[in-house]
Amino acid sequence: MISFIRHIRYVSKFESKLLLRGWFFRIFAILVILILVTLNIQMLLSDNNFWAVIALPSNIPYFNLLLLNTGQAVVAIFLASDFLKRDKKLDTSEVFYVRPLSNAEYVFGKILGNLRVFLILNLIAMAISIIFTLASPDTSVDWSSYLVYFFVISIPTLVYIIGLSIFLMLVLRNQALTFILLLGYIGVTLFYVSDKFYYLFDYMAYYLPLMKSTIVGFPNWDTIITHRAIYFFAGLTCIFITIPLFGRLPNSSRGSYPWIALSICTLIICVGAGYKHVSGILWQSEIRLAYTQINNQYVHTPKMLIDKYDISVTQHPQIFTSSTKMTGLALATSSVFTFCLNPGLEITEIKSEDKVLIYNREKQIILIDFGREIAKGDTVSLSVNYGGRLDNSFCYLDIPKEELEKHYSMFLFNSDKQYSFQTDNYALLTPETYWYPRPGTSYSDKSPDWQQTYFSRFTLNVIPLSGLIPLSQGEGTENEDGSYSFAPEYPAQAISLIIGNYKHKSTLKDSVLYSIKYIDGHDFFSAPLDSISDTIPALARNLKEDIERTYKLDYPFKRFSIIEVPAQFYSYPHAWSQAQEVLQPEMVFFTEKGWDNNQLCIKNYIENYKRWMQIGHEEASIRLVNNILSIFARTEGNFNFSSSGRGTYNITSQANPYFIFPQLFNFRYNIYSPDWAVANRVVELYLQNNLAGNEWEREVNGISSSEKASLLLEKNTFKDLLSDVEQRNLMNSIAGLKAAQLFAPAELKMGVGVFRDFLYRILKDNTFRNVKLESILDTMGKISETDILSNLATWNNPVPLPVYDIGEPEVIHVNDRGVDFFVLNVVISNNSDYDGIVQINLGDTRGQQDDDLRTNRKVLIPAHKSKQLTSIWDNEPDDLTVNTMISGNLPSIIRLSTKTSIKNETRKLTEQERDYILPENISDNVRSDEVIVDNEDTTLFILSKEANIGLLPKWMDNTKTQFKYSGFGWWRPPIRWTATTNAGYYGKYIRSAYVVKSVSTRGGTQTATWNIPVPVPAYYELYYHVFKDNSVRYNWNRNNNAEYKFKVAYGKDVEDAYIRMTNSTNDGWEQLGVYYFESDTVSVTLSNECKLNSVTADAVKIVRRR
Amino acid sequence: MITIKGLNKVYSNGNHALKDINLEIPAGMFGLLGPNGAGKSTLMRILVALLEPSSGEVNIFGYDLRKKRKEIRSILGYLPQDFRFFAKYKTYEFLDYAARLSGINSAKKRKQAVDTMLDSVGLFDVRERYANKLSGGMKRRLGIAQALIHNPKVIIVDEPTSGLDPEERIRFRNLLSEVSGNDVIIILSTHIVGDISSTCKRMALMNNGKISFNGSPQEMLKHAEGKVWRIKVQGDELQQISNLYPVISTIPSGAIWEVQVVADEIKDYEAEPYTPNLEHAYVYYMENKLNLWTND
Repeated sequence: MISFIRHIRYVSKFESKLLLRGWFFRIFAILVILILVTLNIQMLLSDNNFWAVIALPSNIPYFNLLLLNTGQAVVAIFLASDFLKRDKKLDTSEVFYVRPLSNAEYVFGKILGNLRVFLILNLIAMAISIIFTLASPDTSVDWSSYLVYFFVISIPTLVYIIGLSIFLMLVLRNQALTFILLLGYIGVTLFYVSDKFYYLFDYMAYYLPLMKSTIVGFPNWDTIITHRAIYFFAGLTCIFITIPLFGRLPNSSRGSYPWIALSICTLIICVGAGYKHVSGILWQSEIRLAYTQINNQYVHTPKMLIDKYDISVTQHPQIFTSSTKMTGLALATSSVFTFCLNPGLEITEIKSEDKVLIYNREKQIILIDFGREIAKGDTVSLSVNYGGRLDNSFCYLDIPKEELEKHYSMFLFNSDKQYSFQTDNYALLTPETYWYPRPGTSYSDKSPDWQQTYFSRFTLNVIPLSGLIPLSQGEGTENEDGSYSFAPEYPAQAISLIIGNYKHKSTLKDSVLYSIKYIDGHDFFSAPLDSISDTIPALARNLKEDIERTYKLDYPFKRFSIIEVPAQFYSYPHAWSQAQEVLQPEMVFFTEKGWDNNQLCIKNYIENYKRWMQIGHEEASIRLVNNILSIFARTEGNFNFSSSGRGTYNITSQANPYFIFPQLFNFRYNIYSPDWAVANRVVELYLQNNLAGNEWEREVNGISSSEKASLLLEKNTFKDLLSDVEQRNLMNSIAGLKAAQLFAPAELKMGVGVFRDFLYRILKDNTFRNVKLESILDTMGKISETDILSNLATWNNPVPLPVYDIGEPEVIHVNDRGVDFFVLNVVISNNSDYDGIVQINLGDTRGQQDDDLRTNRKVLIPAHKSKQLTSIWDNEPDDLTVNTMISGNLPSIIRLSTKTSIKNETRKLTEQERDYILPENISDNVRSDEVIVDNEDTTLFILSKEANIGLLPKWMDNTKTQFKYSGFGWWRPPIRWTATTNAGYYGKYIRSAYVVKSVSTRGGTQTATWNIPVPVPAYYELYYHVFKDNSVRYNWNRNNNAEYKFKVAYGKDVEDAYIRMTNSTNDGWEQLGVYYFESDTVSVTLSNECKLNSVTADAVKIVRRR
Repeated sequence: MITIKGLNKVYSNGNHALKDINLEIPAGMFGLLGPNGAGKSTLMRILVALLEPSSGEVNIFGYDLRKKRKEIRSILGYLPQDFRFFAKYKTYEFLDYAARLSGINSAKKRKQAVDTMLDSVGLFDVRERYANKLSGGMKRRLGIAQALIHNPKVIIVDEPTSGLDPEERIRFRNLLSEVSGNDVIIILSTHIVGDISSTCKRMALMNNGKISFNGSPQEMLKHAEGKVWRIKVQGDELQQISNLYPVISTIPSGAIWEVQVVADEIKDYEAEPYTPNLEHAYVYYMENKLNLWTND
């Protein structure tokens, strides 16, 4: 054995020597060191520190080793397979082959020699990060994480890739082929397979969730070890099997047998680990399905309404025990009632009035037999003793598997997703886990009956582990025996419990206690914000008041706490509510030091603000705090940026989990419907009134979420869309549109503001009560004298879309006996078979609740009718925004300028102009002397066939999109004609155009042709509709002599025509020339030869000269 | 003692490289002579356990080559035929590596052995130089040094002097002779007769995969006694002579040529017998004894 180790050591020593002397490795090592030093300086010591690594110091080795690992995984292939080739090439190798060492010693030695140099590089990388971490005043070294990441990232990857490359090299006997195969393998696993199949093919641990929390460490330790074992043992298998394959006669004829046996053993371990990994995840899907099916089975069984909970919890390391007393009201007459408790928890006893009750448990369901019939409406008490560890797979049964399996990452950091925690010194129990018995079942996909949660009164007594502080709803008081009691002064739908080594900073402002509760040692905010510590409460109060004003709802709690929770805590939005688990009554869970929010790098940001805005320290601090706090007011959370092909881009926004609205709404109102699980969310979205979405998001996507929702609702039913996983990101837009549509007739009748006020009043009357959507609709219907309730029935059908022709607004400046008035007229025609409602706003009133009918009004436009909207103003009116809501118009929201055409008249105001009137049947004002051909015209507008494109760009561009229109980036326009929409384009209903990358080739490579029918031979002015994208508008191209090149073909003549495209070119109709057209058709062809980045094909018109 | 019985080697391409070799090699220098392609290197590579024989037995100092490779490898020193391309090791490192793998584990002893060996092969001054940068002769010396570093009982050197200048060749032979004093077996494979005549007590002649002769160089010489002739011919008769007999050398002497040939007897020409050397014996053996000579 000693000589075995000795020989391995000798061979490895000399092999390392060779590698270290080789330029390939030296250059790689120098590059790695340079890159890591630069990045570490940037992350830890520069003005733009990277908060994710400062907040979680374990992310420093994680980042460094992951980055190094990617490089070394590639380089190791070259070096590892090289020794076999070298041995073959060098005639001097044979003198070592004739030495008495065994093949195993030789192969191990060579592999170890390879590993050794990489391990030295890993040590250098770690040393670099330790040095820079020590040099950084803002963070500390997490020593143990260095060891962990070294063993879970570097070692398995290296053993695997070195083993695999040597094995392949021996089998294929061709180094070039081995390289190509392995590089292809790396490329495919890294860029294509990535995190698919539960990270199974992620041998570099590039996607595997490896983030460590300073509070709970690695909650997914089992998964990590199993996953890495797959590759470690796969590597060993390759290495062991290499020994018998190695082309040197073994020392003894049976010398290979042990290694074959060992390789079989390691292969079994590797396959076993792979099986465990995959089956563990598959089991989760199966068990989740089983939970849901069990819920389905019991969803209609008798249940109770629990009026009062007295919960006692004792925390133990890794587990908790609890005794929960409940006083409930039977909702049906029965002797057996259904309750639900996390299936990970074991029940020890259930009692009622000192009598032990018999119960049946099926996973999460407890069927409690009271031994006597309890009549509907009767009250009973019971207590349940239970304890154990929560099963996290029981959470989010409504969330599709694909969504659960998506990785949660920022930059290179992949975090696990956990919904509760129970460690030796920490616990986080949220209602989603059902950590205490709740009446009825949890999520059922068969009936929304499960969802009828009720408001209960809670008291909670907690005995935490020594030195830990429990947090929950209500004011926590410490008792003499070391336990803590909580008694929220309001009824709640559920209660949560957090236990940890918490400290807090609190301040009372206007009878609300604002607190930040952080884990001891995590106070990174006090010192840098010291100068404005007195101002912060006022900033919080201002934000609270802003939100209250915006949504006309008040904050109902006496406390507001931001509570730090472990980095891996994750929540999903449910279809029925915007409230995610990060929000609990009176509290918000912020993941560890807000690691994924770079703005929390407070010191640096204050300095940056001072520099960027030339402001003082205090003002910069205030701005930063306001910015940080604004997360509670934003509806959108993260934006996902993706490209669906060359030049086409897409942005999807996720709901912001920190949006504070549920504190004002969901935790105090509960609107439910037996048919529509989404009831609560529909009302929430209606009250938020945010249909417009982000303009910039629309600009990037070429179509807004709301418009997508409209188009989807035209073809699908609301129910289908609610269950469509692919449309999850559009859920708010879809439900929002349905809400707007549902209430619009009533709003029309009463006025938007009055209607909303009534709705608020009804809600207020139902504070901390459950209220049925149908009964709200019934009441609101009676008040508004509209049949809202039967409108609900239309939710079961797809919605045919009306289309509107929106005229240019006309402003008449009237001087009526010395007094100035402005009359604003706009004509909107509904040219479809379906009635529709449009919303008219003046000025920017988005998100504002304005009661002035002139500035904020919904107007019914019946099918095939037009309406003229007139309003009188003392001053020049603001721009007009027409939101066509659920319509086929694209963009659905159009802003019309009222400044361009002001007519002056001196006269009396007419009677009709006195009021805001809506005369019907105004005829469509189409000019008979002009003909317009738009790009939406499928017969008269023709695009050239696709130009010859290389195979690779064609493949890269080969994408199928659900919507015809997409966004594009001006800096990298699409290589095919791509449809996009924008209010600036021409279009009767759809303001769209086609965009393509321009070329310098003479005559261009692609064309767009408009064939315009000529009514009578005459002189015509020919116009092209110009839209300047931002690159032209702001002259980003820096090109002052770009032009669009046209060919005008009429009769036998073909003439060239041009439009100069510079920042001074006018938007809208631009004349191409005056022609005498004799023939019945004129062809105008635009080529993509242009000095700009792209060419846009929109609309062409001819106007007859009189 | 090395005993080889019924040794055969057939390569996968069907080439029958060794045909029923039977040989006993005692202690001392043993020369293996034969033309290129005779199977010498195959035999050497089998003896050093780099190649597996197809059949037959080899026993080295009591160890069966098929079963006890480790033991055999531990008493073996080997210098292959080609010894030019090195990994990037310094001269002393190369020796040090070889010493380590041969079981000299004590650092002190190893250093001493390496230094002594470097000194005895005259490479001490270039010990820091990368082995690749050494001259051809130095590389050979380094080769023999690594083969001797662990005092092996069997030393196998394959074509050690090819490509060396005469001075280096003599030096090399002397080095081997020195070592052969210590009760070791040195197998010297070569196609250069001079290497064997000056050093080996016993030798074998290989041709076409077979052992054609096994004995002492003197015995080999005996075979050629009276078979080497000197003939004086005119220039125009040279061609005719070379068609009739294997010619060893032709030396011009005025208008006539002095030609040395090997043959059992000379007809039609006036020939005088000549005292043979090993080279003559080798040619006689190869051309006449083995009936390879054809005068077609």
